[in-house]
Amino acid sequence: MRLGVLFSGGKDSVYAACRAHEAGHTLTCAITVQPTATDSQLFHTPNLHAVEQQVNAMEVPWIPYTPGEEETEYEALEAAIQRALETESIDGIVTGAVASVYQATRVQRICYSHSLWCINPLWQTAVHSYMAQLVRECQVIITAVAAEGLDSSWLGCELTEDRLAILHSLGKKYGVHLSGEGGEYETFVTNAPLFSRPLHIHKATASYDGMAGRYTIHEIAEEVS
Amino acid sequence: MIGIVNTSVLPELGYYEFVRPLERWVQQKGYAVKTAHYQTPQYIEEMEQCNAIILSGTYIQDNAFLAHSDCFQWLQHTAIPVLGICAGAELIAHMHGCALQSSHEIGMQSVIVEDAEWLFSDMSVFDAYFLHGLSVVDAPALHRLANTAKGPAAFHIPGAQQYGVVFHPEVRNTWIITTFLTQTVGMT
Repeated sequence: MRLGVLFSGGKDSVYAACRAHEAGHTLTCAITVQPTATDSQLFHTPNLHAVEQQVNAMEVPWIPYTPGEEETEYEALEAAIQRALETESIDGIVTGAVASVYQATRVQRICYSHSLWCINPLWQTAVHSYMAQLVRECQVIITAVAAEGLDSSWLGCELTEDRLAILHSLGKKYGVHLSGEGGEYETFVTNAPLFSRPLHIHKATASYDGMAGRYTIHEIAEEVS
Repeated sequence: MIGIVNTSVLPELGYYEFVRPLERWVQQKGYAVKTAHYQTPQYIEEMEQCNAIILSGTYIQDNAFLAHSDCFQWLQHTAIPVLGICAGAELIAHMHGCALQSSHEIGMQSVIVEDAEWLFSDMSVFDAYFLHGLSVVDAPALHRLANTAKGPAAFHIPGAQQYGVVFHPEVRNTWIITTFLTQTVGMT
């Protein structure tokens, strides 16, 4: 099956793409909607400009889509998928949806109306085992925090088994979701089984206002061996 | 032992999305699980050794299971309790001679319980996640247990311990799976 992945560059979309690839499907493109609002309900937002480097490392065409001023998020998502359907003749869409019925329902409806398969390899996944597998197979950087217990020291850090253990205890103390499902943190993947080469962040800055913070990647390139 | 049948035409990805969440829940409740895809050799023999069977759902675009009704003939005579989820419910209805029609529901919908004796004890209305492109046409072979505004949401086959829910209880309504298991197999 020829599949386009809804691709934010964060851990869930990268890992979902990896699972679809491992199952023998062809990833024909990565579709990225670049939201204008930073509080988007549908799209993950930090460091979208660095996504192109990830897509290059995956060696698939990139379909970025910037919504028009009057376009709703739903309309933008549909237009982006429509573009992939027209240019890459996809049979379906892969998403990194884990537990959000809101997100999954919207993508399912768009896919159904365009006779596309909607594939969610992480849907209802067991979060603990997923996160443990993720950090074993991918390099994942934290690029935004917005939860009690997650301070500036987390920005730019790689997710490791030790940090998962800390997140787990923060979950017990403050209710932080282990995979950041509630928007507690956002991520950017610098290496994954699908990448032909790892990526290296050369220049980035962190900002934190006491409640929330962001790690902005300014320069990123393929690692030179 | 609880058997879970993977009904997806994409066995591997379908397993992650529709089967693994069921396996996990059943295991968490203390039951041993045996999972098989319906095109696996000896899957029927494996399921016949189980105390109850769950037929999984699959992708909304996937109706391939209907072309393989020979793999599900056992539904017509088994005494083992069966819970069909979405595609699984369609299979139970189909194998008992009920018609299916194109009618899709995607997302959360209200379910109104009509008969709470099975599966829905003490519940009268709840919200459930729907993802189907076919629906079961009401027929004498079915005893309706619950409805949405569009039609049957759950049914029972009189004379058999077979139940169908056309929504996905593994999303937000895992209590229904537990109720099925405790009513048919008993507590672990």
